[in-house]
Amino acid sequence: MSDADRRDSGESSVPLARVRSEPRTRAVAVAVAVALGLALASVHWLGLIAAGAAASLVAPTVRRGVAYALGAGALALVAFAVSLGPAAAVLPEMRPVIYVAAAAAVGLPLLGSLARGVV
Amino acid sequence: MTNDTTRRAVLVAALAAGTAGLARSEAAALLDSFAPLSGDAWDAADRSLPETVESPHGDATVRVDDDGVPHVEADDEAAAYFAVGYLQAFHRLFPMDLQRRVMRGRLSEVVGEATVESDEFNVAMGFRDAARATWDLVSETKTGTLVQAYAAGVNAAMDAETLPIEFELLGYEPEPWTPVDSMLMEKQISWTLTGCFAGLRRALVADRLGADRAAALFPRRLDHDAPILDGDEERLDRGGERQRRAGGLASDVTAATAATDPVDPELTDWLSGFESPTGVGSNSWVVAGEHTASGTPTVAYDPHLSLMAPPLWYEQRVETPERSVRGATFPGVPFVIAGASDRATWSFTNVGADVLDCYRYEVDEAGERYRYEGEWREFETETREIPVSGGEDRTLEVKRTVHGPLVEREGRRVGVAWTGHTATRTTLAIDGLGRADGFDDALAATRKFDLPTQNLVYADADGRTMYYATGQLPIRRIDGEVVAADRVFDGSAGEGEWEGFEPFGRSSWAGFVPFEEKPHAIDPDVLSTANQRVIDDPIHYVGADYATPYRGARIAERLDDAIASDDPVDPDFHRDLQRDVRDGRADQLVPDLVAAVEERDASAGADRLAAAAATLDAWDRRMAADSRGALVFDRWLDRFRELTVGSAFDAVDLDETYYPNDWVLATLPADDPLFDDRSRERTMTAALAAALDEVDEAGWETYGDRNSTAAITHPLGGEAPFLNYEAIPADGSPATVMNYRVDDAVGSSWRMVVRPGEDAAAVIPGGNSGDYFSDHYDDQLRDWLANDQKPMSLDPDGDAGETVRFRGESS
Repeated sequence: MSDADRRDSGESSVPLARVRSEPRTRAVAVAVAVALGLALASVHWLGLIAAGAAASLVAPTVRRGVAYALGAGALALVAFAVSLGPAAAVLPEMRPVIYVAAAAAVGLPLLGSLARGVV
Repeated sequence: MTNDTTRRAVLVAALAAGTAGLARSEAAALLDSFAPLSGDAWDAADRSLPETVESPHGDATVRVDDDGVPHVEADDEAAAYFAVGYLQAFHRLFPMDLQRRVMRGRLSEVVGEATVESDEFNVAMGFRDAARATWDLVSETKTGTLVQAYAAGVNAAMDAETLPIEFELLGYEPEPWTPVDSMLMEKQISWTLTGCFAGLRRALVADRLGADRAAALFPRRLDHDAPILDGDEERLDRGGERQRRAGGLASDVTAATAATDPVDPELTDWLSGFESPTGVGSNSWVVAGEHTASGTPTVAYDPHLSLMAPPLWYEQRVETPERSVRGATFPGVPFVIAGASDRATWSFTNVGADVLDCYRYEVDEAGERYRYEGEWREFETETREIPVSGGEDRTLEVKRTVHGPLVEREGRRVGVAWTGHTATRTTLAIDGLGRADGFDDALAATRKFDLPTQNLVYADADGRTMYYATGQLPIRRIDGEVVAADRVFDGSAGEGEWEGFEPFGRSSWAGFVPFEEKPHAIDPDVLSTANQRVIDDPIHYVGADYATPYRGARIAERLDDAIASDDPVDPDFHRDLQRDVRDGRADQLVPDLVAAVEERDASAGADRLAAAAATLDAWDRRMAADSRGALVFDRWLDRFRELTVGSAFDAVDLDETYYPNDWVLATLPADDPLFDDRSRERTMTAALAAALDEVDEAGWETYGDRNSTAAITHPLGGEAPFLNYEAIPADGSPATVMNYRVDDAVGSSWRMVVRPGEDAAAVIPGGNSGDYFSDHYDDQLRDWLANDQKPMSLDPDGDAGETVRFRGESS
C-alpha cells in the first residue's frame, strides 16, 4: 500500500505508523515530543497545546493519545513546581490563580490531543 | 470514508477554533499571567536581591537580616538613602504605588469603576498640589537631596527587579517614583490621622437631635480624670500661662457651644467616608530613669492604625557618620518615623486636634463665583481627568477658594481648610530626629513638625524625657473673638480664618499657636498617651475629638502601681502592659448587666440568661481569645448599643456611624430619654438574649472564634485571598491597651520598647516584606499576637541573610 493509499484509507504515514507500533521508538518519540512541547510551553501557553498534540500523535491509539497528552500536562505541572523552587510550597494556597495553572496544564494538552484524531 | 473525512474535518476545526478562540478571549490574559511555566506572574515567585547594584551616589552595603530588616551602611548619606529607596521598592513597591495612586486620584486607572468616588474626592482635595508645595520647600534643604537619592533608588529597583505579583494581578506597571510622591506619603499619613469632618457631623447631629440632646450624647469633654497632662508639668516657659491669665482664652473657648446650620446631610455622609478609619489611635508612655530597673528612661509605643497585608510599617536601619537609627517608617518615606537612634528614642500618637475647618459660602447662580468679604470672587478652577480602567474616564472641575479646596457634590458644596494643604516641614523634622544628638537637637526638630498633630514622647541616653504636641494648631476668630472650631464657618463673612496660612503655597503660620504655648512637658517623670484629652485646661483650643479614656486610664493605673511597688520596671513589664486586655467597659457595665438579669422576672429563656450572667460574673473582664465571657460581653455590647440608640437615631435618619461612643453609652443614666420606652435594665437583658442568639447561630464558643486575624487582609485579598494572612484567634478589643478592632481591621500596627542607648525591641503585624513569596511576608504574625518582640539592635550580631553591595561610579 502506498503512502497515498494509506492516507486515503485513514492510516498514517509509514514513519509515524512505525513510531506508533514500535514501543522503543515510541518511547523516544514521546520523550522528544514532551521535551519539545515543554520547551515551547515555557515560552508561551500555546506550547501546552503543542505538547499535547505532539505527545498524542505518537500514541498507538486515539485513547492512548489522550492519555499521553494528559501525561504531558502533568509533567508540565511538575516542571513548573520545580522551576519555582521553594516558592512552590505556597502554590496549593494560591487560590484561585492556581486553578488557572492547573486547568491550563490539563485542558490545553487535552485540546492539543485532538490532533491524534486527525492524523 | 466520507464519514472519516468529516470527522477529521470536525476535529481540525475544533482544534483550530479552540486555539484561536482561547487566544482571542479574555482567558488569554489569564493564561498569559498564570499558565504553568510561561505565566508572567510566576516570575514574581523567584525574586531575589542582586549581589551588586550600580549607584550614582556612592558605595553602600545592605544586609537583610533573618527578620527581613535591611541594615544600610554607608559613608555618605545620599548613598545610604539611594540604598534605602532600592530596598523599600524591592520589598514594598506595590503598597507604595497604591498609596500614591489613592492620594493622586489615580486608583480607578488600575482598579476600575469601584474607586471613582475616592478619586474624585482626592482630586478635589488637591493632595497632589499640597505635596508639590511641600517638595518645593523641602527641595531647598539638605534633606531634599536625600529624598532625591531615595527616589533614584526606588526607580533603580523598578528598572532592574522583577515586579511583585500584585502588578501582574492588576496588569500594569508603575510609573517612576518622584520626590513629590514621598511628600504625598506624608500627606497621606497626615490625612489618616487628622482628616476629620467632625464639625460637619456635629452640626448635623445638633440639627437632628436638638442642641441639648446633642450636647448630652456628644459632650465636648468626656467626664473622666485621665488626661495626658495634669497641668503642673515643667514647661519651656510660662508665657502661655501669662497669656491665659491676661486673656482668659481657654475656659471661654472650651465652654462655648457652637450653633450652626448643618451642611447637606448627604454631602456630610459622603465626606465622612474619606475620613480616618474608625479607631485610629495609639499608646505610648515614658518612664524616667529613676523608676526603671536599669536607671535608663524607657519608652513603650504601639500605634493603632489599619492592619493589612503587608503591614503599613517597614522596619529599617541606617548607619552613616551622621546617624545611627533603626525603627519603622511608611514605605515611600525615606526616614525612620518612629524608632531609636544610638542616642534617643521617639514615638508619636494621635492628638485628635482640630486642624480641619469647613466653610459655607454664598455662591452665585452660575456656581462660578463666591461672596467673600463683601465682594464676588471667581473660584480658582482647573479641569482634571480621572482615568477609569474598563470604564468611562471622568472629568472633574476642581475649585478652590481663599481658604482651600471646595468640595462639590450634586450641587452641594463645602469649603475645606486643612493644615496639610500647604508646604509642611515634617520631612525635615523626622530627618532631624534621626540625626539628633540630644535633647536640644530633638526639640529643634520638633519645632518643624508642622503636621500631623501628634503626641511626641521622647527619651534619650542622657536621661532626658519630653512630651510635645506637634503640628500647627490654628487659632480661629469671629469678630475678633477666639472661638472653637467645632462648627461650620461662614466663609463669605471671613469667619474663623487662619492667619498666616497659604493654601497650596508657603505659610508663615503667624496666627497659629506659638510653639511654646502648645501642650508639652519637659522631663516628665511618668507620662502616658492614649489619644485621650491632652489637658483639662489648655492655653489654646486643641480639639474635641478625643478617644475614650479606657486605654489611657488603664495604662496610667498600671504605671502608677508599678512605680509604687518594689518590682523592677523593666522592658518585660512594658511588654506585659502592651499585652494588657482588661476592658474598662466591662468594669462599667457588667455589674449592672448581671444585676439586671438577677432581678428579671422568671420567663422563657431565663435559665439561659442566668447562665450567661453567671459566666459574665465569673469573667475576669479580660478580652482574651480563649474567653467565653469576652465573647458574650463583646456581642452583648453591640446589641446593647443598638437597642439603646438605634430606634431614636433611625427616627431622625442618623445611621450607626453617628452613634455616641462607648464611654457615653456606658455612663448614660437610667433616666436618660433613650430609656423612656424600655428601661435600662430591660434593654440590658434584651440585648443579652439577642447576643446569645447571635453566638449560638454563628457557632462561636470563645472570643477568638470571632476576634481573629481574618480581618487583616491584602488590598487585593478579595480577588486573590491567598494574599491575606491566615486566620488566628486574637486577644484585645477596641477599648483595651492591646488594641484590636476586628470590625475595622485596626489595631497595634507596630510595637516597640526602647531604653535609649541601651537596648530596644519591636514586632510588626505580619512581616517586613510585601513579597508574597518571601519568608518574611508573615513571619512575625504570631510573634505580634503574643507581643514577642525581637531585638531592634543598632549593632546586630552575625552576618546571616542576603547582602547587597551598592557600588559608586568610582568603585
